[in-house]
Order: sequence, then structure tokens, then C-alpha cells
Amino acid sequence: MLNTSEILSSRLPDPASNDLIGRYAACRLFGQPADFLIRGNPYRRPVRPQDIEAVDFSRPLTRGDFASTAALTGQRLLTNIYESELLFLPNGEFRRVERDFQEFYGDPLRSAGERVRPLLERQLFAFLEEEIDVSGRWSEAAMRSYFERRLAGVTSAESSAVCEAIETAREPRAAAELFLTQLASDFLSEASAMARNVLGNFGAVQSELFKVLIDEYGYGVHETKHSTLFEETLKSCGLESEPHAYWQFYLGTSLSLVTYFHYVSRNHALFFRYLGALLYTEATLPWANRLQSEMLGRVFDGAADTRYFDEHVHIDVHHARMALEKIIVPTVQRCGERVIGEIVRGFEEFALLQELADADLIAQIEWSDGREHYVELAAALRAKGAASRRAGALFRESKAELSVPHVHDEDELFLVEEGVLDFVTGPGAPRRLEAGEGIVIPQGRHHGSRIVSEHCSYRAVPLPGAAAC
Amino acid sequence: MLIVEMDSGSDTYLTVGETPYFLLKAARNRVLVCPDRCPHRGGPLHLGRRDCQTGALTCPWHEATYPLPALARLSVPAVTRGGTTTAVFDLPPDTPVYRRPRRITANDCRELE
Repeated sequence: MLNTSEILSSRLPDPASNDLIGRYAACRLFGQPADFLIRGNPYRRPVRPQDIEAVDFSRPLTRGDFASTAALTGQRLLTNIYESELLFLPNGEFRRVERDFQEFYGDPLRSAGERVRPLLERQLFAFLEEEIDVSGRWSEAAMRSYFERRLAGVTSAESSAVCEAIETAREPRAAAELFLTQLASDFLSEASAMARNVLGNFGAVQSELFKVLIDEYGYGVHETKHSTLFEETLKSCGLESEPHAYWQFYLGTSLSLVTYFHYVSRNHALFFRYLGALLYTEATLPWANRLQSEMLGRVFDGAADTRYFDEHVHIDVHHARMALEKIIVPTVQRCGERVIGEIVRGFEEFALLQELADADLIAQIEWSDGREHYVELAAALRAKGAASRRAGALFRESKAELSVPHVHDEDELFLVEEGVLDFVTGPGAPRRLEAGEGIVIPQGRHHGSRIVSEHCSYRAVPLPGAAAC
Repeated sequence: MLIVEMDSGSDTYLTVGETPYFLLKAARNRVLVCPDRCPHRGGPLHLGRRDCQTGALTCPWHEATYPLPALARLSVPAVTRGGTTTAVFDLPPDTPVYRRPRRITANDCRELE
């Protein structure tokens, strides 16, 4: 008996899928940027096309791959495909980016994206079928009891592991900035996926979904639109508030929380999963946002504008009730108890993605915050002769050349041999590395670099297990 | 409703109230919380014979055979994640639950590993 991943992978022609994806990723807009922050151009979304060849997109990810090159590359590509169906206009002068606007929304790129979308959805989300099994004959009463138990387990905790990681960091503000930039991947275009589910004709449930949507959009009053509130949060913390200014710093797992909602909303055959995921997020946000609001208040000494979070503490209590009583239960009554399995599956799939995203973010915060330890570790390894002149790969680059933030699938010893570069682990201050210095980059940790001196050469040595030294 | 969490690997057999249940492997990482009473005459399904290709289960008493979809319809609603199976029984929350590890011959299929 084949399992789901085997069935899915057996359907995928390996070279063909990589070739199609490579052609999509080769779009000029997804190539090398001039800076780490992208201002005034929401169509420039680097995906590191040079990594495409190293990824086998025909192989569905496993749970253990969540911080891999394959996951990050796939998530960046899939986000671009889904978001070519949303409208973004630049904050700056439109004329300056009009050509990019035309190309991002043009038929050639969108049709190329549409061809690879199903391949990426399988690559990124097939593992959920492996990880979660929903079985048996469900009733409405059993579904209610199950959700009550699961949600009580999540929302009864008195603290959040992410908030704790931020507040116990050596530099809590930098950690909080990293956290806020991850949220920006979702919150600045919040509920766009939800909008895919309010068209058509499906009875009273449609109107209930619309009510949730208009809450998210501030009832047409721009100042109260949730994304506007989050822009104010970013500004109050000294961060950029333009959509995708921090594109290069998004972790793959952060993007998965965005793409999953598009995945189950774009294909209406997955509507019931969408409902389960909606309940999970609406029912857990009041708890999470309360802790996050309190954390931001403390970390930024009261200067953070937390209205976005405070609004959700209030409104999502209603949304959770509406999701269950006004949307899910009437849908079950209309379509039959046979759809409950899919609703429970969506609930659990999103819960798992949220757990993976939290774990990934905590690992990134801890690494970024503790990077001096990894600089010292690199010095010790170099002293032991771990980086001979023949080891790894040597890169020679010129001033201002930029390595788009990425991850490696094994620990790496990174050493500057000549010149100076800035090494980034998030949107905060870079760590300048001079000739003779280096850093150990643990597997899966997001990082990039930019050359500061006229010329620079650095060596990258794969060293499995180095980060645990 | 009674909600019971089980280790999918070791809690192979349990009695909930007066009804026995066992964990039937449906595929890799997939289990059913199946009543251990054949719908025909109450035979012990956990001792049944399995068709390892189709997953169908044959009761040892009168050889009534149940394909996987039929077994799924008989089973208690459950979610399995990370080695834990959470099952929802239509019984009062204080119903006693007894766990008794047993060999489940119905799971004797290498194809389901």
C-alpha cells in the first residue's frame, strides 16, 4: 500500500518539474536585489534562482525539512504565485516601477506560475497528509468536544515560548524586531486569502464569513483596517511598514502560514479544511495576541503601538464563536457530518504549521541573539585547522555585492579570508566580519551578507555537527 | 463526550465503559480506533485475518470480511499526530477506561509498517 507522499511523488516527473520551476524563478523580478530592504517596489521578490538546481521539487518535504533550502525556496516561489492574484501598489512613485508592475501581473509570468503552483503545493504541503490522520465516524457533538479540548490545551498556557525567547534574549528589541518582521509577511495583507471564500453563493454561511472579513478590513474605514493598525505597530518600533520591505528576512515557516491559507482557499475543494484552519487561528489569536501585546509593551518600554494586538484580543473572541457556531456548525448541518473529517484536518494542519513556525522562529532568535558565541566557535575551529586552503568553496566578491538571505542544509563554517563584509541574521544591525574572522552557521539558520570593502574573499566549509561543538 | 489520548504504538487495546476497542493500523501512520466486536455476531476483530494488499479484515468467527472504508465507518472519531491518538467517545466524561496491551494479530502486515 502506497502512502500519500509516495503516491504524490510517483506522479511528479522530476526533471520536468524542476525545469518548469526554474523557468518561473528566472523572472527578472526574482533575481538579485541591490539592498536587503526593498522599498517602493512590492514586485521585487528575490528567490535566489541559483538555489533552484540544488532542490528536487518533485520530492515532498518531510516535517524535518521545515527549515531547509527546499522549503524556503518553495515557499518564496509559492508566495509570489499566490500574491500575483492580490493587488499591491508601491508607496513611492508608480512610474518608477511601472515596468515591474506590468511584468508581475502580466500573463506570461502568471501563466508560468500557474503551471508550477500544483507542483509546489505538493512539495510543501503533502507532508501534512503524512503527519496527521483523521479517522472514524464523526458527529457534530464529537467535533465540538474535540475542538474544546484542543483549544483549551493551547490557550490555557500562561506564557508563550516565542514571547519568552524574545524577553530572555540578550537583545530583546532585536529579537522583537525579528518577530515583527515575520508577522509582516502576513499582517500587511491580512485576510487576503479569506477574501477568496466570500464569492459565489453558499447560503447564510457566506454572509457570516463576510462579516469576519469586513472586521479584518475595518468596515471600510482605512484607519481601522487591521493591516493599517499593524503598519502603526511597525512604525512605532522603528521598522519599515511597506508590504514586503523585509521580504528577504521572512523564514520559510513564516511564509507557510500565509501560503497554507491561500492553498486551502484558492482550491475550493479544500474549503472544509479552510474552515478548520480558520477556527484554529481565530480561537488562539486572542490568547497569543494578549501575550504579544504585553511583551511588546515591556520590550519597547511602552513605545510600541499595540492596537493591532489589542484589537484581536477583543474581536477574535467573537470571531472564534462565529467560526464555530455561525460558520462551521451550519456548514456541517448543510453538507452533512461526512465533511467534519476535513474540518478537523484543516484545524490540525494549521496547528502543526504554527508549531513548526514557532520552533523555527525561536531557533532563529536564539542563534541571532547568540551570534558572538558562533563567532568564537569559528575562531576555535579555525585554530584547530578545520578550514584549510582547500576546504569548502572560496568566493571572491566586490563591494556592495549582496548574498540574499538563505539557509544551508548542514552546519557551515564561514570564514573571511580577505576584506570586510557585513553578516546579517535578521533585519537588525549586521555583525561586521573582518579578514581572519568567521562564524558557524547552524543548519537551517537564516543569514546573508554584503561586501563592505572593495574586494572580499570568504570561504564556506560544510562542517556537519560544528554548531553543537 | 469522553476524550481519550493513547500512545499509538503501545496502547493497542482498551476497554471504555463495557466496550473493548483496539487500534487497527490502516496504513503507515494511520490508525482506526475500532470496536473489538464484529457487527455480525460480536467476534473478536483484533484476532482477525488481514488482507495486506487491500487492508480488509476478516473476523475469525464466521469470516465476515470488512473492507477499510467499512472499518472506518465503524470506528470512533480520532486524530493521530506525532504518535498520539486522540479519540472521542460518545460517553460521559467520567466513563472508566482500562488499557491492556495485547497482540493485535489484525495488524500483522509488514505492508502497514
